[in-house]
Amino acid sequence: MDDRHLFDAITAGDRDAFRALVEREQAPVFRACYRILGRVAEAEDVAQESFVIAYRAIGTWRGDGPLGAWLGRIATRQALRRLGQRRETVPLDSVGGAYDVSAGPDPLGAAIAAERGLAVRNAVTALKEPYREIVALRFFAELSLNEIADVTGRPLGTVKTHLHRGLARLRDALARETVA
Amino acid sequence: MTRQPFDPADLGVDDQALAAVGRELQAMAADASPFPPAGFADRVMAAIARDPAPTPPIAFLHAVGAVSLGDAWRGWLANVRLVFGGRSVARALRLQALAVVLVAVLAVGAGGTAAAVGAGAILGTFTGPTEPTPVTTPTLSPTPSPTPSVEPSESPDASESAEPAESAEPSESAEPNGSPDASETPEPSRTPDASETPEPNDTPTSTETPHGSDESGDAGSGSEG
Repeated sequence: MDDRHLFDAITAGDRDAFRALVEREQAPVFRACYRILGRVAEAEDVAQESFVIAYRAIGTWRGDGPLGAWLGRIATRQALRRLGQRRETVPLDSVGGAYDVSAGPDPLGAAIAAERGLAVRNAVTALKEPYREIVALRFFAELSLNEIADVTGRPLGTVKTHLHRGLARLRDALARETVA
Repeated sequence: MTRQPFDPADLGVDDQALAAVGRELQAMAADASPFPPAGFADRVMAAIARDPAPTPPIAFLHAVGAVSLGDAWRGWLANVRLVFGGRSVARALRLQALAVVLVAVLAVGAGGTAAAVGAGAILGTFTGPTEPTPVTTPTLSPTPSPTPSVEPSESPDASESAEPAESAEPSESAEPNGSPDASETPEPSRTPDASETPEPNDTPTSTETPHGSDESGDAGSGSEG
């Protein structure tokens, strides 16, 4: 079932259609939240909240981009908002999955990778808008530039410019982090 | 699992340092790709179990309730598309969307008008000197009562004297302030009475009542400068 049919069925009150959308998009939505927040439980909470928001607001979907991209933007914004509400004091042992330093044959390498990943994520979330959202949508929600242009309503050239400037600022921030 | 691999060419410039940052971000995202816990979809469906069908009118109301102007604007546009678009939807849903569109327009219009009036009041636009609205209250002037003692024999003589200029005089004489014309009061009593013997009371009253009212009424009418 394509996005348009899903949209028509959901807005007509077909909850099974929305379940189909959730099952199709839950993995990328959850990952986007996790990559921003770094905590499984919190990512699950925000991902669920994002789907609820999407259900209530799906009537505003314009249909000029994929529903998955639209959901990805909602999730990204919710995760960034949640991140802004808490003080960034993430201990290394609180991040699971790829950041589990106790797993693998090379604990030292894993610890270094985890610390670097945390620094990168912190640098991304410390960017100013609109660079933070564009970088997060591109690398955490894995949207293409065209999808970002669709869901944000910005011209493609503007999205490229924001991504370029965001990466430049990110590079400078990571360079300062390395020196420090 | 990367759906859209990063391509440095997307940036439009050949910057190896930026490309390295992009690749690092992509690698980090690929490493941090856990799957959602089991039962995630069930929890989402349970969370929306009590929600009504997410039609555009409902979406608009949710946005208004959440005081989200951007979502409210998009919700309103969605309702406009639903009303005027070519989609085949239920008639009831289209009517709901039409109601939302109209109510929103009226609300915005009323709010704009109230804001304009408020701003105007603050700026003093409407607080300048205003002239009191002249209220012309038709008052019954003291009409000289026709003297029933007029003899019909004098009517031919009086009819000649019943000129329009003279008929206007009684009106001024009817002023209660005692204007100089008041001295002429006795005169019209004779003139119209004789010419209009059948209806003596109406002649001075109906034609001269506006003039014969108070002075403010005369000034307001502008008939006498």
